[in-house]
Amino acid sequence: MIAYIVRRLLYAVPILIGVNLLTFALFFFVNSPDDMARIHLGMKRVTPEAIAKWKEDRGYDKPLLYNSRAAGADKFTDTIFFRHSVRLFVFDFGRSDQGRNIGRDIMSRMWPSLAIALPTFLVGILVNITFAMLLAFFRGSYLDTWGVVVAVIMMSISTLFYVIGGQYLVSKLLHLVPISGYDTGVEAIKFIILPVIIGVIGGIGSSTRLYRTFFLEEINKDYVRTARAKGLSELRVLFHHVLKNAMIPILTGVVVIIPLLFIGSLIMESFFGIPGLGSYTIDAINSQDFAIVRAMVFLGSVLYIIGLILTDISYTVVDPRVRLN
Amino acid sequence: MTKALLKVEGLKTWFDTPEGTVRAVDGISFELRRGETLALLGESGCGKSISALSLLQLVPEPAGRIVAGRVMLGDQDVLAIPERDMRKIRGRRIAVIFQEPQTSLNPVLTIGTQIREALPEGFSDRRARERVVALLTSVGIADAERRYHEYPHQLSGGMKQRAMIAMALASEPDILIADEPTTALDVTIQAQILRLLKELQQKTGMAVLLITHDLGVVAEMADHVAVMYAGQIVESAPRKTFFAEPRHPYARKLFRSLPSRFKRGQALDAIPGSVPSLAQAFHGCRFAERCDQAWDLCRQKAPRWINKTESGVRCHLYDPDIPTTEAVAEAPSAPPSTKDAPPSPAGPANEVLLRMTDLKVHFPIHKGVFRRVVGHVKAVDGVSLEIGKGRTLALVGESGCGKTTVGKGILQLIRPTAGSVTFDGEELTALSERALRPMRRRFQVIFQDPYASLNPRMLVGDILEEGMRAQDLGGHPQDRAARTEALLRHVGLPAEARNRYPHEFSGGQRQRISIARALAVDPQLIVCDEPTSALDVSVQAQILNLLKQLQDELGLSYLFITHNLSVVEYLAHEVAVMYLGRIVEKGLVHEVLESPKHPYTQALLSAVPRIDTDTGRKVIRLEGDIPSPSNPPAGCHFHPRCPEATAACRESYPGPSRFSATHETCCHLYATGANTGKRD
Repeated sequence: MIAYIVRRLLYAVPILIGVNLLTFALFFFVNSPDDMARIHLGMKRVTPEAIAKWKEDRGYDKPLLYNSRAAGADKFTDTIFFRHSVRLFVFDFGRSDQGRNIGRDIMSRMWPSLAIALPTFLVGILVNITFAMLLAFFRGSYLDTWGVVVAVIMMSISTLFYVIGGQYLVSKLLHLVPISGYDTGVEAIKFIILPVIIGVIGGIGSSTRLYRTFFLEEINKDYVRTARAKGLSELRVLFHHVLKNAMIPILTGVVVIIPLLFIGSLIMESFFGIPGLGSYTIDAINSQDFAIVRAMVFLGSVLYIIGLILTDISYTVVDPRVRLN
Repeated sequence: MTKALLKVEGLKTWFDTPEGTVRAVDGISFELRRGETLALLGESGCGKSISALSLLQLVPEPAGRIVAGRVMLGDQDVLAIPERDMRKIRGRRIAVIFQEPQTSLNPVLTIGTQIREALPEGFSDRRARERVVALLTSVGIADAERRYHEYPHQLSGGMKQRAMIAMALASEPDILIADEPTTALDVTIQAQILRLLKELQQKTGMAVLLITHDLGVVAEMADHVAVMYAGQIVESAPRKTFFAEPRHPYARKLFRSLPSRFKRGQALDAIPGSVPSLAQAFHGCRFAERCDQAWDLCRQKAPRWINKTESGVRCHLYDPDIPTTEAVAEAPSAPPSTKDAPPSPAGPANEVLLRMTDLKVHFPIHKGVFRRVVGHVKAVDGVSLEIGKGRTLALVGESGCGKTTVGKGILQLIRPTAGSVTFDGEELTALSERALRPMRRRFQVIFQDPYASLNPRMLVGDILEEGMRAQDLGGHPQDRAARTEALLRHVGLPAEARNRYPHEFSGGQRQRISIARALAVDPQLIVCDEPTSALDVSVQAQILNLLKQLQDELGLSYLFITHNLSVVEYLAHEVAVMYLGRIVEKGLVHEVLESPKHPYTQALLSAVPRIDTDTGRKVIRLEGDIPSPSNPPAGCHFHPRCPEATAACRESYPGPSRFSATHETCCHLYATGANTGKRD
């Protein structure tokens, strides 16, 4: 088990190096520092001096990979690649193109993101499993048929509709909670409730439908017949036998996104004005702040790899048949 | 005559499917008495399992429904009991064990938890634990305390079935339904489980409804037999009467389609066709289409149940009101032997086609951060065999002994770790993949499961032609098509089958397609990997006949991998018995099967249930399961289970001892000082 995790972490190293090289190529070859400077300074009436100064301020004036003018180890360290890409490995994100400390920004904006994403995730799983079990329990009945129809309708509607519709109904007409914004402490709750509810509703359709098939698949297995032949009640069969088996694909399917909860949701955060990492990324894209985007891309890959490792580990937790080695 | 414990009258269970109403169980009646075993015998799809599920109201809903009948448990009609009260009957008064212990236990709950659920209410926590441990012990599970906390996958197949039995016995039921309880198990394990069931029945006096397709199991276990065909019971009789004189033509045919050594050299008396679809309304007798004694009346009028004391039969032949002058006389009981007599069973092979010497296939076991190789699963560990031209070598052994891996090693589908395989003088292990490709047309394979081994998205014609195309055989596309049609006719299928998909055929027909596919490239050797294990007895006979006929016509050699010893007796020339990766005994069929030398061969032979039970056969009891090939016991691999093991067996692997030019075994019992310790 430990050996397995260690090996998986070692596998992650070349993947991260690959991600790092790719982002570097994307951000500095495809889009050279000169281009970045022009975008920021405006296309017209830009003097070469202004560009040079903009680059110098942000350390983009250095050679990309090899600094022949520097001495010793600095030949490699005093380069754009080392300063802006290699340092990502130790989570030193440097400064944004606007001069902000990205690392500190991430630390402070992580919490609002989590405050929305974590409840959405947990409540979502609970609600989806409940609905899926309900449909599976009444399989073949009208409730089941119509439940699936509603699920398909719900998953066909864009999240944006839920967001705008929810804001209009709950905030504008009923004045129950503010439309958008954020606060710290207990006050935050009134800003969190609506995005969480809308996030959950947005996910019900597809997940309920998927989980229902997991339940139905299990219900048709031989061990369920054995359980019924023992004289167990249908509820006991469902909760004690079927649920435990159906949880295996459900849990292992959702574990991968747990680390990504830190990054939050791009759409929800920007629509509800939550100062989290999702809106941070959107803002950075809008203002062409490549340093932030680069940092978030790298952070996302790291968290995704962690998620995949967690998924493998979660198999051993929920399924006694799986031993990692 | 004691009063019946369970009385089933006119039970009908139908299924609504898109193809129409399937009358899976169509009016069956039987009685079950205390302490008695009733065997419900029939082929797959004849409705026996659905009958059992109907008794417990466990028919899969909403597709299935019980449309008529009564199931009287004492004075109570079980079918009239509401679901809530039904739970007090299920498990409590009627318990079930199912065919596949592998899938019938919940994989994520411990054995202890699952058995505890079956206990009647009112046990304290501690008492319940004790009771479960006692139950596990009573079904012969050693170390029950530890097993209590284990999950199903940690138990072997036989142990899982024991756990299922413990679960069924938890509430001391009056009736135990055993639905093919040993079909998924090896013969030595099957013998253990059947003995256990018998002992438990004697102890508790419960009635057993045994559902099976295996005449041997019936002979071993049953007091009374009911034969099911196409949703109906066609014959019912006490065991002795039934085995002495089966009456219904179907039952009689079943007996004659069984392969055995007495039928060597003859074609088996196969039942043509397959069980009719139950999605139709029958007008005449359901067996008429496959019956060689049927006459016009059989196709027009359904036969009634003709009752005699103790027994009954559903056939016009026995109806006193119907003159049977028109009836076709029964075919002579010994069918004529095939035109070309097979090569005489004695006499050594004249010309060797395939020779493997010290073949080894080892699979590495990896461990640790860097996945170092810490050991090997020695699936095949030094096997030397020869197959002569036009001859059949049977490779026999229980599951996990490595027999399939030998087949793959020969075909170079797995490259052997060591040893040599020469085919017609050419060393296969030294050939590159490229050089091997043209060779491949000379050795082909037929797999066990005809449902999984044919690509469902390809037309039968394409499946057959693919090999020819790959080997550049058959010339023009038209010629190939003609050749394909000829092949299909050769294996007994219509030429039009070319334009259909595999799923449109029955299991037996699919296996014919597999055989045609193998034949398409004119091979000299066919590795037949359990080719009839997935088929019903009557269909098995058809396939065995076909294989035999093809051998006679084309001079094919077969490596016949199987666990079914009666098939070996019938078909093979030589036989090799395999245990944990090594051959423990080999020789001509009559040498090995009539005077087995190795204790394992002896036990294997004695464990096979026979239909002639009164011959005083003594089953040699083999305890325990097959050990893991990754860590075989030291010395002779068989010694922990061997009734005759001595100290020498624990120390070294025995060398070969010869009994004739062809017959040899590896066992210390026969070792003279000179040839011990040749290996290891």
